Amino acid sequence: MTMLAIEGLKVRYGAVEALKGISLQVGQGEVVTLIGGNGAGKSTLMRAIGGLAKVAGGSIRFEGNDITGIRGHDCVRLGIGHSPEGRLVFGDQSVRDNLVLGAYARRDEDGIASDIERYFGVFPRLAERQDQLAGTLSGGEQQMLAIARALMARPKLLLLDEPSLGLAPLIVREVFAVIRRLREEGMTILLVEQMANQALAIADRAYVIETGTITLEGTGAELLRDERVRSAYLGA
Amino acid sequence: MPALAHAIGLAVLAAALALVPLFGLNDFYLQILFTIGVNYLAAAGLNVLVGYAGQKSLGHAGLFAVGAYTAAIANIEWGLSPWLSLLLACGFGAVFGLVIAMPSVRVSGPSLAMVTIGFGIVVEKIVTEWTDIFKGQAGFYGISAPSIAGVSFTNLHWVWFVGALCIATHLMLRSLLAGRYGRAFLGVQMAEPAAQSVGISVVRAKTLAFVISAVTCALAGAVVAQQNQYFNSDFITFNLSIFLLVVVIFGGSGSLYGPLFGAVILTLLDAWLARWPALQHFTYGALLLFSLYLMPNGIAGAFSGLAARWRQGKVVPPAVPGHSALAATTAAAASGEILVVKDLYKAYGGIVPVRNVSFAITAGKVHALIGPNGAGKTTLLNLLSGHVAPGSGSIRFEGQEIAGWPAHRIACLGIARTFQNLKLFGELSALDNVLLGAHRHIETGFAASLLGLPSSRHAEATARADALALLGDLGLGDRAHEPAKSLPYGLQRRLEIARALASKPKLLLLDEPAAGLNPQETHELGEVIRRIQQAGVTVLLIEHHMDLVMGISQHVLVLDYGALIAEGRPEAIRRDPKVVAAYLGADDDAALTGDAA
Repeated sequence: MTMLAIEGLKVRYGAVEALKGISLQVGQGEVVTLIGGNGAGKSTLMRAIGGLAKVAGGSIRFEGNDITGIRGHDCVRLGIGHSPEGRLVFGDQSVRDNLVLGAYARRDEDGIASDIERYFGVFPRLAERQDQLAGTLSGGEQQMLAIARALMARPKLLLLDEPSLGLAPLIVREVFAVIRRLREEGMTILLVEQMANQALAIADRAYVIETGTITLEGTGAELLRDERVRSAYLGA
Repeated sequence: MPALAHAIGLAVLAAALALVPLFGLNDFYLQILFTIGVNYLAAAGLNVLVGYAGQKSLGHAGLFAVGAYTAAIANIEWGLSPWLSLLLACGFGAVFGLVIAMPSVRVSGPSLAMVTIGFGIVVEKIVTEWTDIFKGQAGFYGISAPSIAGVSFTNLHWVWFVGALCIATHLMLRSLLAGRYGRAFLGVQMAEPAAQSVGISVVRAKTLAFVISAVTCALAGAVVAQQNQYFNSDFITFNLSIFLLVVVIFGGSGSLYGPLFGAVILTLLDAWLARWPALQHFTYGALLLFSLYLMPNGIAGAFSGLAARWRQGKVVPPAVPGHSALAATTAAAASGEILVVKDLYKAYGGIVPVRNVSFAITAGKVHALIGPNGAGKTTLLNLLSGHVAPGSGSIRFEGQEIAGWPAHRIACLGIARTFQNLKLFGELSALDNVLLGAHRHIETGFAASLLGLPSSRHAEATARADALALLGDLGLGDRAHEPAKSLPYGLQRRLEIARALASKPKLLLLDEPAAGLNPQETHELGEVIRRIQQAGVTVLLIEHHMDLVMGISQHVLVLDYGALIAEGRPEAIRRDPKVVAAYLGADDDAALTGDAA
C-alpha cells in the first residue's frame, strides 16, 4: 500500500525553483532514501512533506488524503514525524523536556515514559545528560536528541534529514542500527543522508535528485552498483 | 548606487540648493528645508548605529541635548565663537557617545534599549531641573549664529549651510560604510563570534558606531540651537528620541539612503501635522509599528529589491589582478612547534569539557582532533581561538602566551577558524564574507576611509581582487555576488574556509568541515585541505569522517570526556584499543566509515 504519494511537486524560493516537479512514492513499511548533491533540493522536499515549505504546484497525498499545503503541526497529528536538518532542538529546555515535547500530540503518559527510556537506551549519552539544557549539548548530542524527539511522536512516517550529520562513527552505526530496527518494527521512513553507501545499503528503494528533478530511481542495491551514482556520490 | 548615478544625484541636489532663492520661498518653507537637513544629519549617524552595527538606541535626544547645550554654553557663558562652539559640540558629542557605548559592550537587545532610554531621561531631567547651569524652561537667549565675512547667517544661508553639512556627512559615511568599517559593523550585527574570528574587535566596532551617531546627533543639536538663537529644555523629550529612531527605521535602516527618505517624508508629515499636535505622537507610533511589521527594511528597503535586480549581471570585474591566498605559498613553511598547550582546563558548573589537556601542534602539518560526541572537541577549539576563556592552563602560539586573550586579538596573530554550525554573515555576499576575512590585512585608517582617500580606495580594490581570486580558486567564483545564506549548505561550508583563509592564517582551525558533504564532496574537501597545507598553513581539524581524517592528517589527537586518551600517527590511532572502544567501534573500518569503499 502506498503511504506517501507525491505528484509533480514544485517549490519556489523567490525566483529560484528549488523543486521542479518531483514525483515519488513511499510504500507502507518501506525505507526510501534520497541522495543528491548539495543544493539538489533534498531538504526542501523533506520540508515540503513536513509542511514547513510552501508548495507552488503538484500534490502530496498521505494515506490517500491530499495534504498539500497543510501546516507543520497538522502533519505531526496525521503521523508525519520530521527530524530536520541542523539540530533544531529547544535550547533552553532540558533534554528530557525536549523528548516530552516531542510527544506533545500524544496522551498516553505510560507510553511516553517508556519511549523516553527506550531512546535513552539507544543514545546513552542523552540519558547521562537528561537534566542538562539542550543548548549546552555538543553538536552531535543535539543531533541524537533531534532524532529521538521526532521518534517520540510515534510517527507513521518518519522523515530523517541527515541523521548522521556530525556524529562520531560509533554513534553513526548506532543510528543506522536504530533505523534498521525501526524498519523491522514496520515503520515507514524517508531518509536523506550524505553517507550514501550506508543509506543505499539500508534502503528498499532510492531516488537520486539533481537540481530539483529526480534523475534516477531503483532499489538500494541497484543504485549502489550504478556507475553514475558511484562516481557522482560515492566517491568511487 | 553606481558612481555615475550618485554623482548626478549629488549635482542635482546641489543645484537645487543653489537655486532655492529663485523659488521665492518664505521663512516657513525655508524652516522646513532646514529641519529636513537637521533630521537627516541626526538620522544618518543613528543609521550607522542601528542599521549597520545593529544597536538600538532610544536615547539620542540626550546626545542632541549635548550638542545644543554645548553650543549655547560655549558661546554665551564661555564667550567662544560660534564656529568654535560648533566644533566643541561635536567633540562633547563624541565623549558622550563613548559613555553610552560602555553598556553596549555588556548588554544587547532590549536591555540596551532600556539603558539608552535611561540615558535620555537622565539628560532630560538634568537640563530641566538643574536650572543654575542649564536654565531649565527659561533657556538660553541670544546664541550667536556663525557668520562668514562678517555676515550673520540668514534663514537662506542656514539652508545652504545645513545642506552642505548633509552632503559632506553623506559622502564621508558613504566612503566609510563601503569599505572595511562598514563591513565590520555589519559583521558584528550578523554574527559576533565570526566577526571576532576574523580579527574584528566587537567592543571597538560598537563603540565607534556609537561615537559616529553621537557626533552627527550633537552636530544637529548645535545647529538647531544656533539657528534658533534660543534653546530650552522643552526641546529635549523622549519623543525626540523616538522620532529620530522612526526616521531611521521608516526610511530604511541599514541603507545609505534610508535616513534621507525618512527625514524628507517625516519632516513634511510633521510640519503638516503640527496643526493637530495630539495626532503627531500617535502618527509616529503608528508609523513605527507599520514599518516594523510590514516594511522591516523601510522605504529604502522596498526600493533596494528593484535596484538589486537592475544591478544583476552588471558585476564589475576587478581592476587589478588578484592573488589568491591559497595559491600564494607563504615564505618557507615554518617548522617546529607552532602551538603548545599545557594543562588546559575548562569547566561549566559540574561539566568539565576539557580537563588538563596538553599537546603540541607541529608547524606545516595537518592535525586531526577526533573523539565521541560531547568529548569536548569544539570547546577545546573555542579555547584555542579565544571564543571561550580557559579556566586554567597555558596556550603558547609561536612562543607567545595567548590563554585568556580575546578572540579578535588571537585572530590577528594568525589563527583563523571555521564554525561547526556555520556562522556566515548571511545577508552579505560571498565576496563580502571573504573581504571581512581579510579585514586585518586591509590597511586603511579611519580618517582615510572616512575621507575616501586614494590610499583607502586602492586598498579596497586590491582586497576585492584578492578575494575574487580566492573565491575562484575554491570554485565559488560564479557565486561571489550571491548572499551567503542563499548558497547550498556544502558551499556555505566552503565559503567559511575561504573567509578563514582570507585572513592569511598561520594556523587554521576547522570544526567539522565535511559535515553534510557527500563522499564525493568530502573527497574534494580533502584536496582543498592538502592545498592549504601546501600553501604553508598548519591545520587542526575536528572531523568524524574517518576516511578523510586518515587520508590527509599526519597527526591525530583523540579526546574523550575532556581528556586526551591517545595521540599519534593515523595508522597507529586506528588500531589503538582505547580509541576503538571509545570512538571507532570494533568492526573493520570499511564498515564504519562505509564510504571509504
